[in-house]
Amino acid sequence: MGQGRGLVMEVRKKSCIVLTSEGLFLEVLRPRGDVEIGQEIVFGRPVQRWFKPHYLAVASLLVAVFAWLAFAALMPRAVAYVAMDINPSVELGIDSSVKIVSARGLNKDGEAVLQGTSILREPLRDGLQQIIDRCIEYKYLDPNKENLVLATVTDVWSENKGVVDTGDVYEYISKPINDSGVDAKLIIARADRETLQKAHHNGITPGRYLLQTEARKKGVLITDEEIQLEKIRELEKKKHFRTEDLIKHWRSNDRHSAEPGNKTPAKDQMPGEPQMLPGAKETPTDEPDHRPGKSDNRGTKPWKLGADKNNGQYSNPSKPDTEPPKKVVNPGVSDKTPGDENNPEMPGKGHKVREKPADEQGESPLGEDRLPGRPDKEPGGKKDVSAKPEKLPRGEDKNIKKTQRQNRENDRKEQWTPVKYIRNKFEAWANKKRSEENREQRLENTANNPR
Amino acid sequence: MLYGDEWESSLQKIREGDEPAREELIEEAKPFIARVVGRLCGRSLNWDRDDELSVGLIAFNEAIDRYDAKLNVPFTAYARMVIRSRVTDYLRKENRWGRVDLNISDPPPDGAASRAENDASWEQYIAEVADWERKEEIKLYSETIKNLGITFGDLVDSSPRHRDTRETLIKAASYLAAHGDLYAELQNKKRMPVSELVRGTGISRKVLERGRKYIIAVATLLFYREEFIYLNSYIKLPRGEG
Repeated sequence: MGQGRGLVMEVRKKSCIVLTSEGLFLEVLRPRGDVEIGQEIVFGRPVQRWFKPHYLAVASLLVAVFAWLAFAALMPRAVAYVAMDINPSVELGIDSSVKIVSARGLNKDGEAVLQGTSILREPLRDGLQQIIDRCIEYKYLDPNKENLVLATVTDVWSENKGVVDTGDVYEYISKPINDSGVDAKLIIARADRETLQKAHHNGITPGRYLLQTEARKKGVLITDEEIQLEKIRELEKKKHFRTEDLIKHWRSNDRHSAEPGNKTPAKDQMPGEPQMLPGAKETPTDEPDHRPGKSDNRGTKPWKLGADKNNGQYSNPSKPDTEPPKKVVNPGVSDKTPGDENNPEMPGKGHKVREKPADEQGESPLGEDRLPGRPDKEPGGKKDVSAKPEKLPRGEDKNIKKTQRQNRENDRKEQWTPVKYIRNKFEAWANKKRSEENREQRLENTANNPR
Repeated sequence: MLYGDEWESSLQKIREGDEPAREELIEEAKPFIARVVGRLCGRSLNWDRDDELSVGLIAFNEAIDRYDAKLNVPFTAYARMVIRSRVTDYLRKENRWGRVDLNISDPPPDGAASRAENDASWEQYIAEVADWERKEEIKLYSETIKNLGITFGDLVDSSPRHRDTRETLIKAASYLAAHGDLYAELQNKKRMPVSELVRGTGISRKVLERGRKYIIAVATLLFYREEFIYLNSYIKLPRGEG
């Protein structure tokens, strides 16, 4: 019934009810002009009752809700955070496919470094490369100094643990640094979610937060303001501590070649490689004391990037750091190390990364045997988490407070929802699959690259 | 009882010169005329005693001659208008004769006659009255079904879209309207006598229940067909067997 005639029975605001000659009651749009009851009108299409505004409102609400759910489910969500302190402090949110979904600077330098970079949706590797290149460009990483890079990896969801492999992050950071010939000490640690949240609360990276809490355990008081604003290197000088003594460096089981004991040849060092700053390593601290498990000490050592050329010499721990870097190209050595076969990251190519043996007095000979030690199993690591920060003088800086507030908001957003739960379950499954594939590929690569 | 369009089909015959049909129609219309005149006078009348009825009968006959389908008014409504008009004129005349001295400024004695002579104004008068009557009728219908708990909005929702369903429900409504006792029961209990309808029409209980409001509304229209002349003539309902 496209067109019809009907007797107006009832007049409403925008429509009227008509009775057709077929005995149908219909609600139709009011024709233009006055309509009176009893008038016969010609109407077009009857008003669809379920198109009436309130149905429409309910329907659109439902559509909106579903759209939101779908959107939330598809939106990339950070499953892990990689935070880095060079001096610029940056924090990258990483999604389940190891792409960067968020990036923010936690201090002015960090923001400056991120300014103008296009690292969103980039793989973590490329993003880190960009950031480090920029740090070198801006002289945050100064070839004339010994730099310190402190990085932390934090899994947000227990379901997605291991999406961001610490070893991978290590490689992503160390490679561009090595390539540029900048001398830097790289410390990578895994932080847990609680640490991340506390660090967010204070507007700093988990790395700095760990540094602060660990320092306090050692009796070194670093105020919130200092940890927020000062460079780590300067803090080290001011407070006389060494970061590598305080923060356990991550160490994996299956990346033997990254260890100094594995004798990965350190080749092609940049000519004129600067020596380490003596100040940075002047005082080997009593590190072994606060680590109950001796065998884990190895895992706590920061790795020296670029500068440490005393390949295989860590067994003489009293002096390696002070020795001028020696370029040693020793391709033959790695063949003897069974562990190398498991090291896909550095196939064939000598890695310049060295563990810095400076403070390992008397322990080095055991080095090769301590592979199973995992940083996250150390009691020390757990202490980090549970240790409540003492009340320290607060920086009154408005900006800091603002950052803290934002961080708190961010934390709140990370609360549990069913959607997240399902998504994480799925991502965990996807990651498992992916890591299996990766492992196969690694094995293949290793097989194809016998050294 | 007669339906409006049955009279109209008789009218057709009369136009073609069937004089016995006219006699028949007038005879059939006598109760209708009596009711119209009776309501106008406000009392029950007797064919043997009351002149008003004769005036009404003559007016009905006049309506047969003058009715024009082009007026877009049902014949029943037209006849009622003519009867009312003539009987009113008659009563006025009677009253004036009764109290001549009191009512000097009344309309001119030939006012009605002159209006009847002027076709144009007569047609306009008919149209106006018809519009007014139709409107009143719909309002009355609205009130009537409201008493049974039904609104036009309900009927929009429950009007069967399919012709077959509609015809089935109208059949049930016709049955209900034709059986005064069933309709009375509906009015008293405000409940449709489903079991009786199932028995009487053979329509399934489910269909009846689903079309309940529509059946009641249509049955009301059919039951008071003399009240709802315009509506009844507007809808071309298939006639169920009473």
